[in-house]
Amino acid sequence: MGNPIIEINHLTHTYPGSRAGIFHVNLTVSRGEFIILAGKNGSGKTTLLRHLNALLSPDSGEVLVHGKDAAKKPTLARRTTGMVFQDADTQIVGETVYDDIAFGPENLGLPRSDIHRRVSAALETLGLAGLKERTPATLSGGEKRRLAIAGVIAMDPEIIVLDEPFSNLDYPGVLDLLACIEALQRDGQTIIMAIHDIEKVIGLATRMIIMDQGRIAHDDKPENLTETVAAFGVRKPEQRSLVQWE
Amino acid sequence: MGVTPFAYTPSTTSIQRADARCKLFCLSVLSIATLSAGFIPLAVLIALLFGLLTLEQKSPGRVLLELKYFCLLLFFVLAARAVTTPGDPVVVFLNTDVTRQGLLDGTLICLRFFAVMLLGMLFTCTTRPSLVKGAVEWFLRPVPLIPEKRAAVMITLFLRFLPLVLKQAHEIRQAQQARCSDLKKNPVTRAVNLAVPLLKKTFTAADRLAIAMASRSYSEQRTDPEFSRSGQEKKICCTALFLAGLLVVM
Repeated sequence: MGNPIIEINHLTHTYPGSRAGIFHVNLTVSRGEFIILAGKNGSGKTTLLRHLNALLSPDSGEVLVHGKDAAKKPTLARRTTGMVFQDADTQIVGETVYDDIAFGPENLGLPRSDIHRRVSAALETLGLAGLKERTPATLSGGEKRRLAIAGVIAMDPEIIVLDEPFSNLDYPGVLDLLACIEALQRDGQTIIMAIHDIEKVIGLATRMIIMDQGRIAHDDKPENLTETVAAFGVRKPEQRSLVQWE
Repeated sequence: MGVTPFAYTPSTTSIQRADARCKLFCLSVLSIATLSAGFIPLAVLIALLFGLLTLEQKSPGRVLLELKYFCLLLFFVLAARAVTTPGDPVVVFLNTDVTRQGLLDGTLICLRFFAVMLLGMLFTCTTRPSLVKGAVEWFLRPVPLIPEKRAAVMITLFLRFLPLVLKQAHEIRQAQQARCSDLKKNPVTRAVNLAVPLLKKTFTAADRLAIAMASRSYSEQRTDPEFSRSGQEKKICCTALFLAGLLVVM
């Protein structure tokens, strides 16, 4: 494992009038890792992920991206970590597939030729080249999810964070998305995925973090935690991975 | 969810390849000219627009079908004009005179609205949405006190999210109908029952959108749009100015 891309030290974030939040979280993320973030609803997964992208500011503690405080350097945090949200419909901004993928690189102020190159590469990687002029509203659930990932990949992040990427997808959509995620991992992309149903990706993951009541309950190799997950409201996987099973 | 009638449809026609700023200029000039156009020039313009839309794979039948609710609105405009304009009565309907002058005025207004709608449709279905935004931004740039980039993004988001809001309204209505909401006859109660969950969903979606845009480093210092030119822009602009002149003079 090389130098960490992200270091989280004693991160605490609470919501006024609620017991939800995260408390004293310590974590490092290194290049090439595929981390599953598991835990039941309200365990703090999404709150933790939003700190990686500087979308939330810590009550205490810090998130360091390449040694720099993410709260003070949000653009660095967002260039380093690309976030794919649970609801693809509210993440897609462009009126065509091409325009949506170009949205992030345009925000970075890149020259038009670079934007075109990045969008073309993202279209190819996610298998969307034939759909580039389509209106996102006409895409299937799986295609929309791939578009959301392409929009993030075009920003060339070091880490891709996926928040419940399989929610509301039908079976072909799940397989379609799994193939893309597997291809990204093969290319050495660092991935963090918050997920309920770990069975789908446990064969791909290099590390699993179980969250419970806003704290990290376990952080280990996935094979060491398969017997433990049920105690934290996560279904125990019956096979190593849907990808391998297929 | 379906595509709106104004959605961009890629093709290789001259209009499609022309610079978006040129198209927006022509749209503005012709729309203004229709305000003082008479029956015959408007009829010719509408026929011409139907022809151009056919080249963009939108047949007159499909266009009329897509604009059926708009046509219904025009019918109400015509009816209102026909019964409120004083003049020679043609027929008496429910003790109200329907006048010849009212029918003529109403028809003329409806034709003008319809021509502007067709012009808008031709513009949006032949221009990539990012270039529509870029052209608006380009024209707003010299206007003081208007943040042109923000205005352009707002236009894009409106175009992108209007179908989503309509879809949500449809889903809420169906969910309420499944629980016999149509037994309630009071239109105010029905409107409130629809509006409250719809507004809640819309604000939640807007909140999520703002977070998603922030996560993709949204800023107003974005890369400027790149306009492609076909070389036909002068011809197209001159033709539009000539047509506008004819609409006004004839």
